[in-house]
Amino acid sequence: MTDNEVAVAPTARRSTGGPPGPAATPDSPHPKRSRRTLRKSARRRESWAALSFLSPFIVGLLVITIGPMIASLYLSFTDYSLIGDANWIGLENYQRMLDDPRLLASIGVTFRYVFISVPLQLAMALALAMVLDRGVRGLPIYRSIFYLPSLLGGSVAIAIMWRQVFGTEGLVNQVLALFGIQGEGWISHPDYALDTLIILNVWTFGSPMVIFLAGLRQIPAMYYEAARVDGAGPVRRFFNITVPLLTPIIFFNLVLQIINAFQAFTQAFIVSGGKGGPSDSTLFYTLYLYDRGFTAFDMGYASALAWLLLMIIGLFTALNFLMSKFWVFYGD
Amino acid sequence: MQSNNPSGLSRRTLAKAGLFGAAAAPLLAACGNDDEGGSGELSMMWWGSDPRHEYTRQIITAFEEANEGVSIEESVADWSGYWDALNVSVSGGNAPDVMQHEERYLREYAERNTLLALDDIGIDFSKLDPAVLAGGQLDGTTYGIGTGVNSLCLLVNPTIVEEAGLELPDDTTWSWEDFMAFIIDISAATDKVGNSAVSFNNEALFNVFARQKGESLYTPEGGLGFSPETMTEWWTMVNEALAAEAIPSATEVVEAAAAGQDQAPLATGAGATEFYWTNQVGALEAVLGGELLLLRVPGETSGTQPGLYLKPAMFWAASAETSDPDTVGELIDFLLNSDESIDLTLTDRGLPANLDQRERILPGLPDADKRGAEFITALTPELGEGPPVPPIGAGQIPDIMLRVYEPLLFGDLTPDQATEQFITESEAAIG
Repeated sequence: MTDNEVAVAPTARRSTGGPPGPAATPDSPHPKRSRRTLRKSARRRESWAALSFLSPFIVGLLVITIGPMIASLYLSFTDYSLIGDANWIGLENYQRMLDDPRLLASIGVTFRYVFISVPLQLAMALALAMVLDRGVRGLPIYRSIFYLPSLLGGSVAIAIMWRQVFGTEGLVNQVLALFGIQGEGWISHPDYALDTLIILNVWTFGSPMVIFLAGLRQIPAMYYEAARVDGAGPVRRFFNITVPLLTPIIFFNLVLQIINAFQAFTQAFIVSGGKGGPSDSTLFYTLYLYDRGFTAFDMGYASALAWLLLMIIGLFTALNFLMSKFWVFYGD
Repeated sequence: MQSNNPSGLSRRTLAKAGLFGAAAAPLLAACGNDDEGGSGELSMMWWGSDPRHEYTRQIITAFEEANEGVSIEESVADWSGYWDALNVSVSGGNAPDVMQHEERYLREYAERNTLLALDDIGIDFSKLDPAVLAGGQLDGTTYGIGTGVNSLCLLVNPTIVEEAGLELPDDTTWSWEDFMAFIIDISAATDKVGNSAVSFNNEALFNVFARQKGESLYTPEGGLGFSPETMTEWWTMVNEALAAEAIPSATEVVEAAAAGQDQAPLATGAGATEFYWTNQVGALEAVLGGELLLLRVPGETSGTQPGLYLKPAMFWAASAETSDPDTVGELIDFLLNSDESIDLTLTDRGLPANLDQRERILPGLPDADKRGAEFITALTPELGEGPPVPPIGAGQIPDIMLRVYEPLLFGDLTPDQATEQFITESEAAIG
C-alpha cells in the first residue's frame, strides 16, 4: 500500500502537467522524513481530488435520494396534505393500510403484472438471444432492432400507440377481423386491460436479451463440441450446458426486471388516463400511490405507501438472493 | 368532463412533462420578490389550452403597460397537471400570487389559510353578478371570484335527428323518460348512437338530477345530500339505455372517455347527443364541422324544482402569502372588469361575471358562443339557488363516480351496489 502511494504521487503530479520536483525523488537529503510528508500531503491531496470528483454523485445522493427518503419516512407518520402543515399521527397511516380495499386491489394487480410479465419477458429475451447467437449475418442491426423497444417501452408515445393498437377499432382487431373474429376493446375492458400492459412489458425484452447474448458468448464452444461428440441433441445441450452456465446472467436479469416491474408507472398512467381504470383493473401500486398523494391530497399516506413498496421490493430481492444459492451456478 | 378542460391525452402528458417546470416557475418568480410590500412583481398561474394561454398573455401585457413598474411572471399547465404543480408550489411556500381556481378545490385551499381574502384589496364588485360572487364566498369572506358562468346543456346533432326521421323534443317540458325514448329511437333508426354516455359519471349532471327531486349532491354542511334511491334510479336508467343499445358498449364508452373531447362521438359525428357545458359548444362544433343545438337537460319541469344551475366556470384567487396585495387586487380587477380583458376572453372563462361587460360583448360574440349565452339568458329567470361550495375532498368525487360507473357498464356492479360503493367512498373522501 505505502509503496503504491509513493509511486502514485509523482504520477499524479506528472499528470497535472508540472515536472516532478526534487522533493518527489527518493534520493533527496532526508529520505525518511520527506517520504512521510509526501505521503501525508499526497494522501490528503488525493482524498480531496477523490471527493471533488465524487461530489456530483455525493451531492446528488444526499439531496435527491437520501434527503427526500428521510423526509418521506417522517411524512409517513404525519397527516401531511401537501398544502397544510404536517401533524404527527404515529402509526395511523400504516394501520389504515390494513383496511384499504383499493390498496389490496393495487397489490393484486402489481403482483399479477410482475409475476406474469417478467418470466415471459426473460423467456422471450433468452429465446431471441439464442437465435441471434447462431451467428446471423448483420447481427448488430438485428440487435439494435430488438433492443429498440426497451428504449421506447416506458415512453409516453408507445403507451399512446398501445391504446390505439388494442382499441376496439385498433390494429389487433382489424387483423382478427380478417379471420372472422370479432375482437373486444382489449385495453378498455377490465378483464383484458392488464394483459395488454403485460404484453407491452414482454415486448421490451431487448435489454435482458443483450445481456443474455453477452452471457451466451462467454460459454466456451468446446463444451458444445464435446457434448455433440457424445451424442447430445440440441435440447439436451440447452438444458445441460447453456442453462447451467447462464444461471448467473438469468439471476441478474431476474433481479433487475422484477425491481423494474414493481415500479412500472408510465404505461398504466397513460393507458388509463392516470386513473388505473377501467374498474381499477390497471391500478398499479405506483399509480395508487400517486393517486393518494396528488389527487387525494393524502401525502402522509402516500409516503407510507412508498415505504411499504420499498419493503416489498426489498423482500423479493432478498428472497431472490437467498434462493439463488440453490440454483445459480458460478462455475467454480 | 371538467368544465373547459377536455382532458385530452396529449395535453395531459405534455403537462406531466412540464409539471416540474411549471412548479418551479413560481419558485423562481418568488425568488425575485422583495419582502418589502409593493414590489410590483407578481406570479400568476392558470390552466387551459393554447388559445387561452395566448390571449391571457396579451391581457397580462396590457396590464403591465397600463401599470408602470409591474411585471408578471406566468406559469401555465393543462387541467390535470395544474393541480399537481399548484400543490407543489403552495407546499413549497412559493404559491403564485394570482391563480385560477375551481370550486371543488376552493374550500380546501381556503380552509387551510392559503388564500387571500379578496374583499378589501380594491377590486370593484359593483358590476359583478351577486350569484357568482356568492359562489366564491365562505362564511361571508370572498376567497375566489367567479370569472363567468356556464350551464350544463344537452347538445344535439340535428343532422342525425333528421336522418332518424324524428322531431326535436320540446326541451322546456321534456322528462327523463322522453329523453330515453328519444335516444333509443335515434339508435334504432340510424347507425349512430343516441347518446355517447361519457357524462353519466359527471357528478354535476347527477347533481342536476338530484336537485330536480329537491335533493342535492352536497349539503351546505359538507355532507352528501341525496338519497340512495335517487342515485340507484340514475344507474338503473343507464342500464336501461345500455340494454336498449341507445348508448355504445362498455368498452367503447371507456375508450371515448379516455380519448378526450375532440374524439368524443358527438364531435366525430358518431353520436347524436351528449351533455356538455355551454362554453364547450364552439370547440365541439369546430371539430364536427356542423352546428349543434343546445337543449335543456330533461326533467326540469317534471320534478319538484328545476335542477339546472349556473356554475362559476373558474375562479380568480390569490395567495395569502403575496408580497403585494394591492397589485394583486388591481390585476384581478383588471381581469374581471376591464374592456381589454373581456374583449380577449369573451366567453372562454364562462359568460362574464361582470353584467355590464356581458351585455356589451353579447352582440359581437362568435355564433356558437352567442347561442350559449342566449341559452343561459333564457334559462336564468327559472333557476333556483345555486348549490353550495363543495366540501373538502370534492376533487376526488369525479374519480369515485368513474370507478362505479365503469363496473356498472361492464355488469360487474348492480345499480344498488354502485350507489352503495359511491356513498361509502365519497363519505370517506369528504370526511
